[in-house]
Order: sequence, then structure tokens, then C-alpha cells
Amino acid sequence: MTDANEYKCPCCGAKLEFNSTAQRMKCPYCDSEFDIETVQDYNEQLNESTGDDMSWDSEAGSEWEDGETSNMRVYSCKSCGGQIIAEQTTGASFCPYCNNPVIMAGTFSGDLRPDLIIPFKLNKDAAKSAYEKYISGKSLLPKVFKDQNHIEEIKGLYVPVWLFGAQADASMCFRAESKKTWSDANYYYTETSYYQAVRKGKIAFDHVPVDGSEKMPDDLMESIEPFDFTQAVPFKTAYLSGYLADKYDVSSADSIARANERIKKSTEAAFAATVRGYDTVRCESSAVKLNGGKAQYALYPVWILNTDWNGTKYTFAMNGQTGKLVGNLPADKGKAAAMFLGITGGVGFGLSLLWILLHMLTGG
Amino acid sequence: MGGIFVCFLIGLIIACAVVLPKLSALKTVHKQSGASDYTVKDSMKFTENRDTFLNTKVEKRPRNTQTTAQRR
Repeated sequence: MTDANEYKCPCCGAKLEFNSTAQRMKCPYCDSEFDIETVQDYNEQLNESTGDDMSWDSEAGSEWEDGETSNMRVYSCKSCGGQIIAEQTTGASFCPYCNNPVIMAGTFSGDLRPDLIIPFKLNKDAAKSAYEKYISGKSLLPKVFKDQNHIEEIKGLYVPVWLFGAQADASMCFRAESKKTWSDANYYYTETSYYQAVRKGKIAFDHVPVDGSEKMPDDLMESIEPFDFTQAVPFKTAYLSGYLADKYDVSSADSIARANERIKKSTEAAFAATVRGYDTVRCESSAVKLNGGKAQYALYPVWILNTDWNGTKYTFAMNGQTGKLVGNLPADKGKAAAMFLGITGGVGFGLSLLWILLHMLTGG
Repeated sequence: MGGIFVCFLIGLIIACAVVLPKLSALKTVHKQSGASDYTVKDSMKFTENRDTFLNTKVEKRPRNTQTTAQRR
């Protein structure tokens, strides 16, 4: 015998049994009773999910044209191993990721040509003033982060990203409950109504970015999203003039898992948001299949500033298009302790004086 | 003496309320949870969208558990 004829109780998940007296399916654990058709339909929906199928056509980028890269140079960082591309006239002397000196490794060759680029919209002055504004109210930030000479080191970097777009076909099954309570002279009553919500359909995603650089922290790149993709243009080397660019070192195939994770989560959230009017909703099964999945290779503009403090590197990044800036910055423990003790002591002392004064006045 | 202790306790609470938000404001890096920014507008279409009523269960519990003790 297989489990084919086993039916789960929609209320508690236990195995249902046929009650010959009631001619209905009955749960031996929670005593719930159901019509046979209802139970069959409920369990069919649950078992229908055939798992996720999230495959992609991950071939992105194109070949460089003859002579297109002749003016581009590759600079290699001996410290972190990062490889930076810059035009010959722009040059590069320090690694934007670790601030260590870089050496010219030669002319650029190989690798894929980006399909698209979002050009920098905010210049260095805008990035510097945004950074200054960002740190101005942060009194616990160590002084080195506010140093003008250090702020000058902010660099414009094109970060490689893989863009994924696909139509997600999803089949989801939810269990929903709504509760009603009342009471009489002797008892409190809780009436729980159980529902099954089925949602099948499709939703499309376009240009979901995944960081293609190993040196650039993924969470940092995701924190400065979203980028306005309507301003993306076909890639031309001219856009690199005056800026540094990173070569991708995480392939599109290796980036798929993260794209899938984000798309699946948003698909489930979008479908779940349509199950309304209940007190609790729980997803019981979910299957997402991708259709027409395609990847593109693009360069996104980021202003980046690294600061070494107490032997740790702190990176600040700003979206070079929208100006959104983020960074996990450290706190000066001395300043934090002084502020904490100062407030505790000041307020405590002030209130104590007031309290003693009140006691003296009232003769207590 | 107890009053002075309370005064410094209030100071401690105010210090926490001032310093802790300043510390958390220094951390702004957060991984994205999904891809909702990249959903194609009006692309969500359902081929099946139904809610089925399954069952209703009523549970009851005594209103006053102290009744027995009170009777004694």
C-alpha cells in the first residue's frame, strides 16, 4: 500500500479516517469532520506541487570588437588580487576595494563585453557632499572618517552585475484561518474557520541584479539598490573615461542561485498578499517555474570609499545614479562611552539635586 | 538614598535612548530580501484564484476557573 489514499486533516495535519456513522472524513486527533470531496480537493492541491524549476539561459555579454579595448589597461592589486580596468588616460594607482597600490598588468583582453551600462549621473563633488552630509550627524564616528584628505580618495567604479529577467509561473496553496470569539455566563468560545486558498498564475521580473564582483560585498551592492534601469544604455568604452571598472569574477552561472532566491521570495510574497481577509495565512505548498529566463551583463555606477580603522576595512558605497548611500561604519568606543556616562551622570546628578531640593522645601 | 538611585536610573535609561539609536544609525548595509523592485508592472495574472471553505471548529473554555475555589 502506498500513501496515495492518505488524507491530511486541514486543521491539524493528522491522518484522516472515514467515519462510517457520519459518512464523512474525521480527524481522530482534533475531531474535525469534512466532506469527502472537500478533503480530496484539499489534498490534491497540496500534492500537485511538483517542485521548483528555475533554469536560465545564462549566456550573457558579447565579444569585444577589434581595437575596442586597445586604450584600456588592466591594473592588478597585489594585496587583494582585484583586477581593475581603466582607460590609459585615466590610469589607476590604488585599488578601490582595499586601498593598496596597484600595478599595471597589461592591456585588456579576453572576457565578455558588457551588454549594458548605467552611466554615472552624480559626479565626484556630488558624491563627496553626499558623504559629508551622511556623516555630519554621526557624532560617534571616528575622526578619520571625517578627514577631508581622506574624503578626496572617493572613487567612481563601474561594478559588474548580472541582470536576470524571467516569467515566474507559480502554483501556491495556503491554509487560512479566521477566528471569532464570544462568551456567555459560563464559557469563552472560539470559533475557528479553516479555508484553503489556491493561487496559480504568473508574474514577470526584469533586470534583477546580482553582483558579479567577488571583491565587492554582495550586501553592500544590494543595499544601494534600486538602480533605475530605464537609464541603461548599450555599452560603449567611452563611458569608462575618468572612472575605474571592475572585471566580473563571478560568472552568470554562479549568480543564478541568488537571482532564483530573490525571485522566488518575491513571487511567493506577491501571491501571498492576495490572500486577504483572514486572521492567519500559512503557505502550505509552493512551486515556482521560470520561463524565458535570460541574463544580461551590465556595469553599474558606484562611488566607493574605503577606510582602514583599527586594523579593519570599512567600505562606504553610493549609488552613482540615485545617490543612495550605505556603509557599516564603526563607532568610536571612547566617544560612545563618554556620551553614555555623560548623559547618565548629568541627568542623574541634575535630578538628584532637584529631588534633594524638593525634600528640603517640603521638609521631608 | 533610594531616590538618588532612581534619579541615576532615569539618567541611564535616557543615555540608552540617546546612544543606542546613534550606534544603530551607523549600520545601513542590509541584504535585499526579494526582487519586488524588479517586478514588471501589472504582470501578475492568475489562472486560478479561489478560496475554499473547509471546516469550522468551536472550542470553549470555562469563563471563571476560580469558581470551585470560591465555593469552598
